[in-house]
Amino acid sequence: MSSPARVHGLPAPRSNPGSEAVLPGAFARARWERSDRCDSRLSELYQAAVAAVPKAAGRTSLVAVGGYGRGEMSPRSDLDVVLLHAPDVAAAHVAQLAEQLWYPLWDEGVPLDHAVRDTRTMRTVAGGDWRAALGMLDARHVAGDAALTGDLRSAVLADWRKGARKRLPELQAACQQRVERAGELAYAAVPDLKESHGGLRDGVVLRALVATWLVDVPHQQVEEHRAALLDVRDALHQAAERRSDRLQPELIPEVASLLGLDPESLSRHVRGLGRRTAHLFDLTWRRVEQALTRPSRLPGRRASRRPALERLGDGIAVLAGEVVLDQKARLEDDPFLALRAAVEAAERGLLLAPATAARLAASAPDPPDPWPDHARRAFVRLLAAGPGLVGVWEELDHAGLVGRWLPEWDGVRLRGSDSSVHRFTVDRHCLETCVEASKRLRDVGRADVLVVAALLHDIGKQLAGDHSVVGAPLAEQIAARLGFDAADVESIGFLVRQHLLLPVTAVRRDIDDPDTLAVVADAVRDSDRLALLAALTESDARSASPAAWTTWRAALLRRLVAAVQTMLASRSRGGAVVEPRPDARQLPPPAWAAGVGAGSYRMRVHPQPDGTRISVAAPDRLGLLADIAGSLAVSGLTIRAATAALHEDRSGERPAAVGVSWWDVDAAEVDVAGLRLRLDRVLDGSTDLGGRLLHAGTSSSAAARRAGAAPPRVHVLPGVSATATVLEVRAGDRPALFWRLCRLLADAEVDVRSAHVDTLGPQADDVVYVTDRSGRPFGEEAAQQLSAMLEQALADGVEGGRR
Amino acid sequence: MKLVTAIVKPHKWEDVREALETFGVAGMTVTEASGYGRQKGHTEVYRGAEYDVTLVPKIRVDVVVDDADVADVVNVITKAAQTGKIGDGKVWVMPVESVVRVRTGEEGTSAL
Repeated sequence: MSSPARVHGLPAPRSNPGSEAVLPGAFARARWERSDRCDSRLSELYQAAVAAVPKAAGRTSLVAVGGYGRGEMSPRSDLDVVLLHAPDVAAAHVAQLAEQLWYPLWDEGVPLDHAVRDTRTMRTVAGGDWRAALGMLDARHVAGDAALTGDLRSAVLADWRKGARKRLPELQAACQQRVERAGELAYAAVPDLKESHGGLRDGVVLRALVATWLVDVPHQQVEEHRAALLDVRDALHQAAERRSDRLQPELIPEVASLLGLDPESLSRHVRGLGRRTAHLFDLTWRRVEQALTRPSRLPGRRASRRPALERLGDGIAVLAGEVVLDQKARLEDDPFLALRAAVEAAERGLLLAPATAARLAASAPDPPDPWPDHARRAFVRLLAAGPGLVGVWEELDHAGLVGRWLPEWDGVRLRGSDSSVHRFTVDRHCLETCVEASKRLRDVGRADVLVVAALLHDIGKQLAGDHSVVGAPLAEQIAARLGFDAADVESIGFLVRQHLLLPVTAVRRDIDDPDTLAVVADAVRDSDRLALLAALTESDARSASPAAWTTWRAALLRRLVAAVQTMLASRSRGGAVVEPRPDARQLPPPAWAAGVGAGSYRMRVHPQPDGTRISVAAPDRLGLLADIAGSLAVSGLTIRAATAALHEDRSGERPAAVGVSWWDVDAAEVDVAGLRLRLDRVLDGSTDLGGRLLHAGTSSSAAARRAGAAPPRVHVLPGVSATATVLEVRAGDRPALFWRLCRLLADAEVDVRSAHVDTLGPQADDVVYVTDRSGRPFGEEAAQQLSAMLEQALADGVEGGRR
Repeated sequence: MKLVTAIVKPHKWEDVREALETFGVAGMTVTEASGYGRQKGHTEVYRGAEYDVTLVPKIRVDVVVDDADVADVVNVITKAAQTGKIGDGKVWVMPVESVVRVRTGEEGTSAL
């Protein structure tokens, strides 16, 4: 051995770099060969050393640890070796042996990382330092007493398993600090292949976590990704001609050439490996957390072997903190089972189990075009789920489901951004924009349009030209396929096309100039679209990077939006009062409801393509709507949409007020007899719903539990009706929400003249026309007080179930 | 030498930069700034909530120039930044004792 290159098996520089490397497994083979050559050289040295110090023979061994132990030597890796000896071997003999071993290596210039320890010290060191423990978990015998190495390996593994519950929190904290320091392999401008989140170090930690026997990982995937990253590092060492883990931009062309890729493909390749490894790393730590919260099995007590499934309905369940399928799942019949499972996972802040996602991708039929309403609603809920969206989307995307739902996503997946202001790739930025948008749902009337526009606002970055302009037709095409109607498709296209209008205008135009404001006002046309564009702009900027949403920029944007809002309001003043929803008070009741007598009611149930419509007519009284809504809620029916109106029934001897309401519920089949029984008891006053429903939605609803869910908003809509006060309530959809609203109004002795309930993804948008007991609208101050009371009471309901 | 500092409306920054470059100013320091002048003290309503707009977003431009150029530079900035409305900004001038170019160690006007 005359040079470190020979020790490490560094191949001689090739005349045509890359021609050998691109062969499948060429880099892996080179790593094994380097390790083999090191093993051979160390064995030679060991044999020569024990010949010189015969008293050390038999109870000593050479052990490879760390990367060398795993047989993963990169061209410039250190040689991590331990001279292991039994405790009873004399120190002087061990020292002589060490000199015989290390000096030749030092003379040859080998970058040696060595230690001399007895088996007891090795265990003590491994027990006190998790870094040392991780290195020793990969210990491999090289030369000498194989039984000594074997005993050490068994003891270190046993100690690791025994102490895992105490040691893993420390390891987790260290990993988190490392990730904060080194950043994300998938997104860093100069990625660190070893230390970044998703890098080689994560792969080593995953091996150590599996060695605890507390958790398991998708082994093949993890090892394939680690091997692929090692290939990149080997090529980096070759290109840099030094030991380096940082993929510097100037080295990318040569590294890419060695790997047989073009530079852009290499960047995507590394980002993809980093993202997937980081996802599996996080998934495994979540599994560790789950395992650590379970009590360890007591000696002599048999643990239940049955999996603890929490069923969520329709073939979906939660198992050990991950969403899985249960035996009732009908994979072949339901193209949107994966979507519903994803919604349940994302809203609960859980992950979709990788095996479940893969099974769903393999079995589910392709979605129809356009999507049915229920699928579109589920998709909106997924996008609006908040931070839980990111991990779930990664799993769906890896399984290939996203590409089947949105083929256009392929063009932005892992695509780097041209702008330095962006901290994420285009696809991740779009998801982060959805997460930011989910915090602003109460600011807009159309939460569903907002989150879909957030997802698609940069979809045009895969095409040449202004991405806003070329992205709009793509977004419209996707929105139409998702089942949005023509008006909504136009709104989504507008938002994508104009998503840079507000920031560009705020920073580069004179926002005190009425002409500037007029340009923006002409583009947005109404205050609803202005609110949508403002929410999208803020979400986009916040998710790009902190530099894109400074207080300076935020202040400019808010001034612009407020000024445009004022201009839009002044334009609309003087126009005719238009009621946004029909007020049916003056209409006769439908024929089936005419003549309903005091103390009775009539109900009709009609199946719909994606649920059931229930119609109820009863003599009007304070709290009628609350009682019907409550009866539906205790029957387990989820109200998706509702309309209610007071009619004047002139079919009898005297005119009578009849309350008629239409309720769209999710269930395909309704237990009509059971519902009728409940309505009988509730409407005749023999059952009080309060006790059963007061806390509904405060503990069981994932949406309500979601951290950071925005509080409800209640607005008085001015100038909408001359004969009633009109309130708009925006709140996170949860069981019994509409009952709670109606109950609060009834308790305040407020008459509900008509109501219009809609659910837009995770947000309920309810508009109620209310009057005082004499049938008159409230004054401005009283209306504001009523609005504030409702907002506070509904917020209390979310936070603690109080009222 | 003098330090010329200008506070201008954000949308006027590009005009000011172009005018200064045309005049021959080689470099400048630009900062996002917030402040108020005579128009201070009003609030606006945004999404139903009042917020304080006392601090109005502006751009701050700092240029060190030779004494002989001060009047022209101030004139160039003023013309480029002017809209004739409230909030157009301010320009002020302060004496500078010394300037050193870090790379070469040059001092005085040759470092400009």
